[in-house]
Amino acid sequence: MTSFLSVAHSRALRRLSLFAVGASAILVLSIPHLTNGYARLLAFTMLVNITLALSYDVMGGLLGYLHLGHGLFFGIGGYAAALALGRGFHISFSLLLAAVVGVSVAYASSWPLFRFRAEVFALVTLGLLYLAERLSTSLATWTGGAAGLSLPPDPASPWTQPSAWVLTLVVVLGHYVIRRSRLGMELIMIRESEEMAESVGININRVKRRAFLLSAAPAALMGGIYAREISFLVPSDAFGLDHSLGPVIMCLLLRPGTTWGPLVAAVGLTAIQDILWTTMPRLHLSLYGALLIGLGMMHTCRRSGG
Amino acid sequence: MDLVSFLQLLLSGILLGGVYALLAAGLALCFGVLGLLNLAHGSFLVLAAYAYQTLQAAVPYGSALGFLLIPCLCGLVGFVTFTALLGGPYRRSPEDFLTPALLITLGLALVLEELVAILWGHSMAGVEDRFFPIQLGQLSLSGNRALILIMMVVLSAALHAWLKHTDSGRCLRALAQDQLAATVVGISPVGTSALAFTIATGLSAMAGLFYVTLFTVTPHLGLPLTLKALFLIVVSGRRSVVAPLSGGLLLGVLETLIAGLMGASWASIIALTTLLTCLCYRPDGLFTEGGLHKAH
Repeated sequence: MTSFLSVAHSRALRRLSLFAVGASAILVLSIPHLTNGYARLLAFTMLVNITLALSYDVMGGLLGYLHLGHGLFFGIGGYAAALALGRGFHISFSLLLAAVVGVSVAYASSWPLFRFRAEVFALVTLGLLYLAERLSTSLATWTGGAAGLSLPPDPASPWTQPSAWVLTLVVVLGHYVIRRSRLGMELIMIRESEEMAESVGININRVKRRAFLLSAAPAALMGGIYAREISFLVPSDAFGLDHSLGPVIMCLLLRPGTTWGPLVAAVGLTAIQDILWTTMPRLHLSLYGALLIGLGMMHTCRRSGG
Repeated sequence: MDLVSFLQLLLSGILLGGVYALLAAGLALCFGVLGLLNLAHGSFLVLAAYAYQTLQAAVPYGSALGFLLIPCLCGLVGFVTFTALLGGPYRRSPEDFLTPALLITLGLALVLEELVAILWGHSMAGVEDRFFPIQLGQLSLSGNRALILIMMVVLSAALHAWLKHTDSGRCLRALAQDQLAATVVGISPVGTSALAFTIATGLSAMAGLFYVTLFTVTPHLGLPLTLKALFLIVVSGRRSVVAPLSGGLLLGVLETLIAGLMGASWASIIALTTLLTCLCYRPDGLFTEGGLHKAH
């Protein structure tokens, strides 16, 4: 009986996910045709959120870590690309640089990070994000400090929207593939029981590190694209809590560890956020706060129920 | 830098360290008993600081009244918060409590931060020195600061005495040592945890009153302060309430000296980097002792 129910349930979920993928594909394909500035920005925000949510899900959903500093890589990618663009490099080189720098930072920080227990990992990632924000404020000769770094208007701007949606599609498909690959299975196994995974011969640290790098790379790339699209970076935005807590909420909201869950949540939350920001701009931190509180209170129910 | 200004810096470092130590002591209390890493801890400090500033400006003898009332009120708010938000998840699964607790307290920190920003705007809070300065040779120390120094010592001693010599303090330590055994002899885990959370929030409010008297407070100070205090208890590596005290003092002195030498913006960067580096060398700092969080 229960197995029948779960089969029916998963079938409904699959149908829903097909619908969601179709809807977002239509949305994504329509983006290059958007000329209206507001709609263009909204669509771009949605792409950023989808990419961040799904790349976060590799760490948060599949591996089950609470990672509070995903925006660190977004910000690092953004600043790397902005600094290269500001010195007159081509956009393709700048984006490459963003990805390389983001992945190198992730690689370097993964050595100490995975020695921590999951709770301390969450704290340390939040600490790193805060540290990056302070550093980018203090290194004013490079980053422009708290006043921000603005880029000159560019000839390559028509490329940012298409590259954003190509990246998003790659991330969506990549997440789908990773989840069904050997790596995805290993991640899920580590999430369920680290001892078990170790006992069947999985190299836990290597697998975790791969997941970390795979989740950092799209975030850094998207940060680079964001820097070009917005043409203006401030520490409080690039390394702000929005780009770190948003993905956590989007991942945990519906069904962590699936492709459709973070995808649908990212699309939905972007729309809700947009409405809320335009109607009551002062309450946007509280919205995140209330969502986090709700998710935390649901967390144990969900565990004991499922 | 001459000797006098160095000593002056040292003194103000010790005061900042005292604030860190009080914050960390409350956090350690929560962590020891509940296994709760409370990310909203510093937000209560900010809330108390702003409330104190308003009260002090509005009412005669506001500062004395504030020192009596605000920690109690904040403790009450802490109790309500615990019962409303954290009690349920804790009761459902005490062993799987850390992740929901992190989510809930982070959410709470954001809500409190915005609440303060809405109620008091983005202006800084600070309280002017009211007492006469005390002159010790060439060193000058305002009466406020001397009073705070004394209160910090008294408060730490009182906390220590409470934990060692009263029934409720013993319950708390018993629960921190071995939850199962404590439950068997009739200690209520939820009730004692609520008590620990209440006292921790009260202590955080007290630290807030000190902080606003010594320095200035902005609405966005909460989370960074909490992070520093959390790293402190992680680094100090023992679930004792007294251990973070010395760490807090050290951090305060370090941060103030760096601020004096290199400028304020580098102080918190270097402090945080130091804490993170220490943590890298002691990744299991918190969890090495047995009890509630035995390594499985």
